[in-house]
Amino acid sequence: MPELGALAPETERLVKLIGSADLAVGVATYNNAATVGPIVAAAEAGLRRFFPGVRSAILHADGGSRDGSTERALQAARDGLLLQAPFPLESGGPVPGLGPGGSGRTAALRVLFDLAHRLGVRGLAVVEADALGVSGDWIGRLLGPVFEEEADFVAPYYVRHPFVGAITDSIVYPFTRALYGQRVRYPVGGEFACSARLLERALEREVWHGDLARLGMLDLWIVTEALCGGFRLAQAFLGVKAQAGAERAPDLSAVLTRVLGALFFEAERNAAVWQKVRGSEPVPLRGGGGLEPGGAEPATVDVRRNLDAFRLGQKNLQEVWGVVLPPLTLLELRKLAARSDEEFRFPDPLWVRIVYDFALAHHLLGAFTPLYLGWLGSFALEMRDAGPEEAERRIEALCLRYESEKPYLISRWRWPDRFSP
Amino acid sequence: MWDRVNDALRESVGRVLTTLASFLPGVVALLVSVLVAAGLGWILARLAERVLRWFRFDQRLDRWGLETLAEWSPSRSPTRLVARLVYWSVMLFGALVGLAALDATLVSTMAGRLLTYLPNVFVAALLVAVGVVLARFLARGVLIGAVNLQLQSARLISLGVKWMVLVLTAAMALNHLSIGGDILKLAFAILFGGIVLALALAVGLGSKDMVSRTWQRQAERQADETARTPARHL
Repeated sequence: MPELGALAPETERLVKLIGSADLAVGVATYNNAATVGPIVAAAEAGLRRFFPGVRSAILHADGGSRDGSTERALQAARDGLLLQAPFPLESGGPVPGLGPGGSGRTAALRVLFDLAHRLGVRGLAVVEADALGVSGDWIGRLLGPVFEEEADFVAPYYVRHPFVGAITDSIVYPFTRALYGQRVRYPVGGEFACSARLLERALEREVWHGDLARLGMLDLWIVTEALCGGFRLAQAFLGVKAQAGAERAPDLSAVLTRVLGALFFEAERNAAVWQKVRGSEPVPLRGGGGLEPGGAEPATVDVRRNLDAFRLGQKNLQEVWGVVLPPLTLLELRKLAARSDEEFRFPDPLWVRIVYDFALAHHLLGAFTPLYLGWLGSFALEMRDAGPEEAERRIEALCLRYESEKPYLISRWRWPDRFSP
Repeated sequence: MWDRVNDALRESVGRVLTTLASFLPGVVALLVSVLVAAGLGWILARLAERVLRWFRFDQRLDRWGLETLAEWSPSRSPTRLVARLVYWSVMLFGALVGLAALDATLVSTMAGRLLTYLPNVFVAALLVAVGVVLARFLARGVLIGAVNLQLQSARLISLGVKWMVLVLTAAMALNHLSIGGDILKLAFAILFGGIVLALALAVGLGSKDMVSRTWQRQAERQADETARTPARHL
């Protein structure tokens, strides 16, 4: 039996009052009054429409909002069972907030998982509190495969502008796919659903105070556990993903360090599993649709600035890159930096090997930022007139390169001294 | 008269032979001490090397971000560096024991003084080692941070940080060895104060407009980025 965290007396009373539920939708808020109401309403509508007669609950964890998020959620829940519980939003974390990397994400997920487990649910769907356009369909598609016992983990599948989510496109998705052999397009999308079995596994393990919890990247632990722990996977087509309130541009370097740190940490933990995997398999997609670009969050990339950042890194970080990258890669980077903006194209084999090289040198991830900006600049140049489908084909080609270069990672992993620059 | 010369010569040869006879065991003891120290040092060094290799010391240092140490080590292996340190420490100890066995007053006094001074040398060496590693670590961190902030003078800033730490370390080490005395402290204070004053004057007077323009550009760029950037990289 997993050890559960202590709940507030009022929450304990509500849990006892509700007794049990088969399905639950969880949302964690911190000053999300503008969006929590529609999310709770959509969750209620989705549960009623897709799972009629099934006992269900909406779980709302709040980190001490001062904008009336809890009241808005209560108002939005008309006749559904809304269970509200507080969670401690740690101060002094890397990023205040609840998104991946946010300091409150771990505590919020812990409360939602605890509540779901106490209610004995068969499936829990988690929706990000700042998501816009959440509909009942989202809930049906996320919880459906779990309810029908077809999957233990359901990842989201979005339609996004080609330039949005470039870390996912260029590293997280291809790296996860090449390593674990399953094509989960958005491994850390924010929304997901999991079965009681996976939920219990998470509560049993010491992940809530570990490195990934500290990085606010527990979502990545859940998906990796699903990939390596013999759980069945599915994807839910959620359409356009839009989010409210980008208060300030995040520090890209910090985001990269956290996300890649967590990704590579998980790779280290599961080294025995992924070294045996070759190729990849598609993961079933529920509610699949075309990649209509309409409504996707618009995005631009300042190509010039990105390429300048890459060149500045190339000029100044030779010594640091030299610790991680082999001499041949350094030479290719030098040649790349000398190209004009229009001719600038980051070759896939070079990019993939660089990512694999950095997977073995977590402590120098800060030096990765200029390389990523170089790749993004190159991708933006290549895809400036492309639609989502063409961009998706481009990402697919990159993924195949990740898979074909995997022996390089395995060699470096097993015999690091052979490659010492 | 010849008898007296003969006696004097005999006495002199006798004294020399007696001195030599009393000195010889000390020399033999010195040689034995050095040889034993060499053997013991070799064994301890091999033992240390084996234990550190079993512990994967080099890889662990690398993982902890202290790969700088490898650059300063023979064959880029900190394990070998530690093994050699162990060997030469035992050798030094053996040599000092041997010198003390000579029973020569001057040598004994020197050895005694050296022994009492040795802790200072060790602490100073440790200070230098920590300072060098810290200087390189900070310089690297500052360099990466400055490049990520897209500062054109990233390398200059990093070099500045590195040399500030190195100068501070050198001053601390020399002070610990009681070399230089008050002159060293004064020189260091003047140098450090001079650098800070020069920087303050340069920024305050000479580059005032440039600094304000740079900050303005930076603020505009951030505002622009927030307004139109995709920024959702994940």
